[in-house]
Amino acid sequence: MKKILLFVLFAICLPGLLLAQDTESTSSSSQYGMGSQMFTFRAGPVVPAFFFRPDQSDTFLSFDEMRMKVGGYGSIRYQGFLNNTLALGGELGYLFSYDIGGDLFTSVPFQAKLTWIPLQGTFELPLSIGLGFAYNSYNSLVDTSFLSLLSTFEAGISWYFREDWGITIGTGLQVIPEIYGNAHTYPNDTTIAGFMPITLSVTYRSN
Amino acid sequence: MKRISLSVILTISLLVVGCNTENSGVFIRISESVEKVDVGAVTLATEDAGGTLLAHTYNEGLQSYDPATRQWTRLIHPSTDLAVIVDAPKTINKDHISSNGNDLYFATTANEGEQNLLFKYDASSLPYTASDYDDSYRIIRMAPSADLMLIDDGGTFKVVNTSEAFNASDTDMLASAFAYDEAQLLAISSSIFLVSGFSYDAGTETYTYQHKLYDGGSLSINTTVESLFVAMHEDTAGNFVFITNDGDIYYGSDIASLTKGAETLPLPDTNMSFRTLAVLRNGDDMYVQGAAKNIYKITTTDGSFTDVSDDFPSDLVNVEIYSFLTTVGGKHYVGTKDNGIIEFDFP
Repeated sequence: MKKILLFVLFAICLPGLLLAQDTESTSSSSQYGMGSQMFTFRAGPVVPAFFFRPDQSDTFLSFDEMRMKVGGYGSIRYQGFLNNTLALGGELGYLFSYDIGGDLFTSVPFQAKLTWIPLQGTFELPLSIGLGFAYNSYNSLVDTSFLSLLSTFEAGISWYFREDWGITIGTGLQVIPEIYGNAHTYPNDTTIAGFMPITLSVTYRSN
Repeated sequence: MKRISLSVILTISLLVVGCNTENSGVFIRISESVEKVDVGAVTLATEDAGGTLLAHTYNEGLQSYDPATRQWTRLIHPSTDLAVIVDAPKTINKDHISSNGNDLYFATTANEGEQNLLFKYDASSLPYTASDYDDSYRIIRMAPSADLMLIDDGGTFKVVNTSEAFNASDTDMLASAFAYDEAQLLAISSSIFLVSGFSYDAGTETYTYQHKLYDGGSLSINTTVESLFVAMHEDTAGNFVFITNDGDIYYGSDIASLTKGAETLPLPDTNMSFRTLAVLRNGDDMYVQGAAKNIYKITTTDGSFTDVSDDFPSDLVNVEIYSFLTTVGGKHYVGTKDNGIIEFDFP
């Protein structure tokens, strides 16, 4: 688990490191400007990363203890550029994963997404954060679903094989908190879940 | 401004619609999920002398299960072991097995108006021959972990000991001329049981219920209870608890005037019209699994109930419990709908 988290951290930090080394060359050849747009379709496996359960005896459960299998994630995203490096938009996705008993967990995240692209051109390094909501369901029980907040952190490496079409390999973390107050029947069931999608994206950009 | 108001209303609506207000946490449930076992719903019957459990499974019929190795073994192969059956079906249903603690009996399903074929399980008798079965009874229900079966003896419904019936020496423990269209046989033991059922008049479209308890003698329960009973228990002080398929709880020591409990038990999400509720018995204590797989303790003296799910192992509140068995050695097992057999200890 530590290796996975280190990998995510490295992936997030890598573009920053590259930028620090080559700031002038990237910023001087800006690909985008105010009014530029991007459409992105993403799909790939999702690795259940952790459950953080502050009120349980086993506070932290990593992938091999979560009793969840590797699932899948797909989404569509639209973003418009605020300036030559920052793009703001929205993403609607669908995440699924089965527990070890074969019951299905699904999540429909919808989020506002801010992407910073420090390195631009044929190869790009997009870094994103997202905030929004996720509608989560679990079919082990009848009528078990909940709407939660959602935050995401992502990093990727893009290659534009044409001027307006590119592909991106990316990863990150989707954090879904399931928070219960003292008035709930099971107040100790508060859990923060982390999922790590590893996606291949296809992006169309228009300048 | 209108857009902001609309967004706020939409968000509040989604939060209200999407809140998990009653069940335990989704991620907690996932982290406690139990691996599926591909045998289907398990109805436990008994334990043999070697410590192997004998049960009916939905997918494979009669099977044995070794708790030490977790190995399932099919006991009866219909096409070969039951080849002696020519014209009748060879299917063995979960409510057509019974046990007297040593031997396992089972009956195959019968065509309309015909008698069932009653067998005693004996590995050395396989494949069965015509002299190995009894075809004297029209069997309605058998009690999986008791030596009982409910039979239709030409319009008179009777309960007899299966082992005695198999040896052609049965005694009627309970007999009723009531014309059951649907009946359940609930057994605490081979000497304490309940027949609960109804008859349906198609002309007037009315149901008439009858509930007969046997506790050393035949007793009638309040005939005003117009639901099927799906679970029962008796403590050592003689207090009875009966649960209907609507979740109503009736309790008391006077069978003829039971009292209805103040609250309705939230029953499992599956249709209770066609199943009974497994009772987890631990001495005087009675536990049943209700809605959302929660486990409730029923108080026999006042018919109240308490959610005690957190007191049980997490495995038990993440599976659907179908049957329960306590062995002679005092081990407790549940047969589940999708997760095989689980051994557990009471809190």
